[in-house]
Amino acid sequence: MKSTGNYKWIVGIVSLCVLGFQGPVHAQAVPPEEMSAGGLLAEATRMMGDNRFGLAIPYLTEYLKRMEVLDEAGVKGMMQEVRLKLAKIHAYLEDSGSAVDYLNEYIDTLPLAKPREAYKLLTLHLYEIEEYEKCIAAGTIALSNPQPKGLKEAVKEVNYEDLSKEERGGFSKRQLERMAKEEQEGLTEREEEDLASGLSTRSTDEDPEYSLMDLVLLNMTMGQAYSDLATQYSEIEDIPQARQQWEQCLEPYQFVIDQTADEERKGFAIMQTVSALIGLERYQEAGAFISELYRSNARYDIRVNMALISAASALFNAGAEDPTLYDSALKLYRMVLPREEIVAYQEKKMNDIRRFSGLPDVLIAITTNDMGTVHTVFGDKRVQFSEQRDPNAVATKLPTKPMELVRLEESVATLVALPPYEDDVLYRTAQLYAEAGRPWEAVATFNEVTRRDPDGARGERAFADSLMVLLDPLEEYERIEQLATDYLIGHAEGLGPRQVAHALCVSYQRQSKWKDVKGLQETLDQFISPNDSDPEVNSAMVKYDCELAYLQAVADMMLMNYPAARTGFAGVMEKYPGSHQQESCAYWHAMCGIFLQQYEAALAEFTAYAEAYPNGVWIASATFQRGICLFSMERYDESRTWFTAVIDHYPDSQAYPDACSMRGDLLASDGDFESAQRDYEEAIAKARSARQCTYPVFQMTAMFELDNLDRTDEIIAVVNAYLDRYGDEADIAKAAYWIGKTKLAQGKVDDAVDTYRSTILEYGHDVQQAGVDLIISDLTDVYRRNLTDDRRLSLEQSLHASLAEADSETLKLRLRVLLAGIKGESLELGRELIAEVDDLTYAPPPVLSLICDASFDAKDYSRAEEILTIFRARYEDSEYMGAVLKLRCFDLFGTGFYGTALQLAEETQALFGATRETAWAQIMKARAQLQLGQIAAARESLSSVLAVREWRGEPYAEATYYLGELEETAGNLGKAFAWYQRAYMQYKGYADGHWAAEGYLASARCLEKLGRPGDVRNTYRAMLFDRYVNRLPQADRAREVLGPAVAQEISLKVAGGASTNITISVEANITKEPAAETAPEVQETVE
Amino acid sequence: MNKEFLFTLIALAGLCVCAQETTTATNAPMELSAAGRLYEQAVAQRDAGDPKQAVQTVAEIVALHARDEQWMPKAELLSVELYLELDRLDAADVTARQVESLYEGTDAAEKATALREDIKKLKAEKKPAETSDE
Repeated sequence: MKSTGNYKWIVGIVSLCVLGFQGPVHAQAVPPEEMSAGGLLAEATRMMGDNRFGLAIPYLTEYLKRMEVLDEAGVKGMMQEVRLKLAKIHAYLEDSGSAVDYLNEYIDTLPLAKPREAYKLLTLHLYEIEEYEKCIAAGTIALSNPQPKGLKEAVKEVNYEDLSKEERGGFSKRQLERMAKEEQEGLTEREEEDLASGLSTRSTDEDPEYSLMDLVLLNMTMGQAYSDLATQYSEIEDIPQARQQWEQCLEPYQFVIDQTADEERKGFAIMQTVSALIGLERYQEAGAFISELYRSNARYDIRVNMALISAASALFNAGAEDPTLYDSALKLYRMVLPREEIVAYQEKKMNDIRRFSGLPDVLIAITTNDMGTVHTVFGDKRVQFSEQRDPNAVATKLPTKPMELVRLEESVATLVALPPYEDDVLYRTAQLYAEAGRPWEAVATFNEVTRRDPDGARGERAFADSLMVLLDPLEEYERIEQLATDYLIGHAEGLGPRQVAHALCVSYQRQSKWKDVKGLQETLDQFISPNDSDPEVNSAMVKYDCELAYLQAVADMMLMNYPAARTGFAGVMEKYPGSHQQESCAYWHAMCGIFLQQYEAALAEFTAYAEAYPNGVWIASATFQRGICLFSMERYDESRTWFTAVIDHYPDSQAYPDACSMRGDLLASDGDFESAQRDYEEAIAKARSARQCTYPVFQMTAMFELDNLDRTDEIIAVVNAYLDRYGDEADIAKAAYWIGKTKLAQGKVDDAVDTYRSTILEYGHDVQQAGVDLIISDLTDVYRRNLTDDRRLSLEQSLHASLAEADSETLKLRLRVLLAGIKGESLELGRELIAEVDDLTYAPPPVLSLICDASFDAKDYSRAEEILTIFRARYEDSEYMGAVLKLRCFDLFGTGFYGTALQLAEETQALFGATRETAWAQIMKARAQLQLGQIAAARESLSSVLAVREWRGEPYAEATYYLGELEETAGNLGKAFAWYQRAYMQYKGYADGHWAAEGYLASARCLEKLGRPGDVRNTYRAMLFDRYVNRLPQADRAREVLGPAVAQEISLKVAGGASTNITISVEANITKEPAAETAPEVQETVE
Repeated sequence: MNKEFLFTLIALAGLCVCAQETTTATNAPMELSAAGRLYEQAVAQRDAGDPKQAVQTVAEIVALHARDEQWMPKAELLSVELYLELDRLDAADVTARQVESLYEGTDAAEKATALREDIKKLKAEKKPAETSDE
């Protein structure tokens, strides 16, 4: 049966045959719509023959359109061929989307003569358009070896006799048969050549099995589709799916690795396998592939190099878990080739192809812009292929470039346009050295990054990073300080200076050079506010600014400048709300409250912290500090609640042992020794350091000592257990002190003395052994109270002998302090030591304290600052620090540094509280306030002295005198007189009459200012009558004013036993009186 | 740490360096690459008793000439030895481990393996000493 379809198909065949064997016959272009079906195919074939594939498309599509309505098997076969041809043309023209459309149409339609070829092409082009899942599906079918379908209908023989004359196209039946036969014999070969071949249905049975090359290509494409899918899933953090895809890609890549002869393709497959194994965290397997990759030419493929960087980065990131991964990462980073090297390799490869194709060689030059300047690698660098043609050669038309060459040129162009990945690789390598633990390599590599890009972000970052490595682990502090300081002189803008300042700050911090940290403030103030166009950089700068401000506040805190620290922390919270340091600032701000003894405020802040950060990093400590605040406010029951909260809720925290200790103290003070002991034992058991254990150990021993029961054995047991646990880290001397005490309690005085003596001799050389100093103090008491004369003599002789034999200067000093103490000659020794000891660093705290006392006595402040520095650096917790604080405070006051003196007085109070020994600090505070013009504050400070019962006596006398001085300064002469008078009337018995004598003189001065010369003389007379003061140097002034005769007369009267009741009355309106003491009532004279 | 052992090790390492130097001098006495010159400088610094300066010089080779296949293995081995001399056992071990990995199957890797064994012993000796100091 014939049909129109058959007819047109035959026309097509005829036209094809004509074109195929006789060349083009159309001399002029006819629009496709006006051409016959055969003409369309003929024209298409002609175009393809001229390699003008794009021009063939309209004819072929018109053909499909024209034949769409026909249902004839032969036409269908031809249409399928046309579809496949169109797919190939679109593929060639890199229009993969259209290629895929035609291929799908082809596959969905019968007859399906070339399923293998179609599925192969479909797989490749679905990958090109990133339809990975469909690509995988198509590839899977392709690899299942699909068979042709519906061919029988299509291979219908043409009966040439049934054709009309027109249909025969001017050929006879025989001619047509011959042409068809010849076509059948020769066309297959040409078809396989390239797209330029014509169209035929004769190849319906010619869908050959896949060659090895085809299979490699299919597997590679499948592998890449799986890999790309995995990457997509990774990006959306669907890890299970990503892992599944990584797993799936391994098999196809392995096929490629095993089967391909192309070294570069194999290398790329290995690289992708490495990436997949890294995605699957199978790092060791990845490492094995990496070694293989290093030996292949795939290293010259830029895609491989990019993948290397990516894989290296993944390995580097996983290196923290398994350090050997750093080694694999380093290997990969070192495998990444510099751009120039890849370009050179590709240039050679391109020229090989060019020569083979009859093209001239090419030189690849990476050029700069017209100005010869490379501004950025993105904008100005470009690739230029300059052909090396012979200038004398006659111009001829060059052959067409092979596709491989075209693709290679594109690849090189892409390579050249890449950002400077070599610098990235170098920077990452430097980071790797730093992380892996090759510090000097890290420093050198960071320096090279900086050298290459000194003003760029990366270069600056590398400079800061190198400083961090010099810091840790190299501890090259001097070098850091030199480099950073030099750098900061000329840099104040951007991220770099902030990073460098941060490194410098941390360097100072590591060395506890807090003053130097503070010294950086001026530099930080010069920094230009973040104004970078990149929001990320801007944000980083703000973060550094925040961190640097935070470190300033920390430095203030470490320098015990708590008010400034508080201001600093508050400033950070205000200026950088929600910053990374917000939480820490809140905590430390509250801690400063504790240091400033502002417990109520601190408590409120810790409470607020706990509400804001219920799971914060400081929550356990904050809970503990809530207890400390309440404890300090003597709200013991409430404080116990918080210590218990720490114990119940944060058993793994650092604060837990301390909370146990504190609750133990509370229980012990309540007399519940049993519960206290449990807490102390828990504190000891959970202590994380010798320091944390020392406190409960000795608190518990102190508790045992207080217990009425004889618990000496338990003391010995707990101290020995502590010594066994911490060995040399333990406070051995303190332990010995307790063992000695226990022996004393057991009446084993000689044993105790021996223990003390041997401990002094064994540990006395170590200035840090505070227990030795406790022993010296205790032994002094034992000597006085418990020893017989013989034993005293024996001890003295033994100590003298040890002193003579001692090599250690520290031990010698301790022995001398002990000997002076037992002889009551401490002050004398102190005076000797002022001149004798040049290097105070080996003097233990009691020696330094002795020197301070003697210096204070001699008003010699020359070494005050030096000794205070030593205490701060070495013995910050020492109970002997009070003496140096006093010495330095008076030193500062005497030299006019009232503000600093005030700070030091406050620091003393913060450290020691209101003890009798620190009464001077309160008075000094008032005197400094007075000098600073803070009259009201000074008045309050002095008045408060008179409210502390422990300070009765000399501190009262002194405070009273200075209250007079304060009122005199304020111009309140009446009040001033009243305070002075009180000083000499009520407190003459203290300080050997010093303050009374000063009171007399100051009273007389006030009376003089008030214009009462008679009362002035009466005051002086009273002074000379006063046995407490009349022999003091101040009395000379009275004698001078009264004259020798009167002075002599009074002297005789006093010698005769007379006394005076002269009192002076002055109107004084003292409005504000101290709470515990009434203001002096100015009395009238009563003879 | 067993200092005697450390010195022996350093001395052996020194011999190894000298041997390398001799070989280098025989093969290419006049034309040393930049990496080669730095290497010789590092050896001289080490011989002058300045291992700290020497390790910094070697680090420059590693940073600047990582693609120099002739000098890099030697330089990295020297780095191991210098870290040892500076008593930075961890750095020495990491460097040796990376030499093993980077130059797998070569003499350099073998030497690195031997050095790692020595480092392991030194670490083992050092650890109890540290513990007893505590």
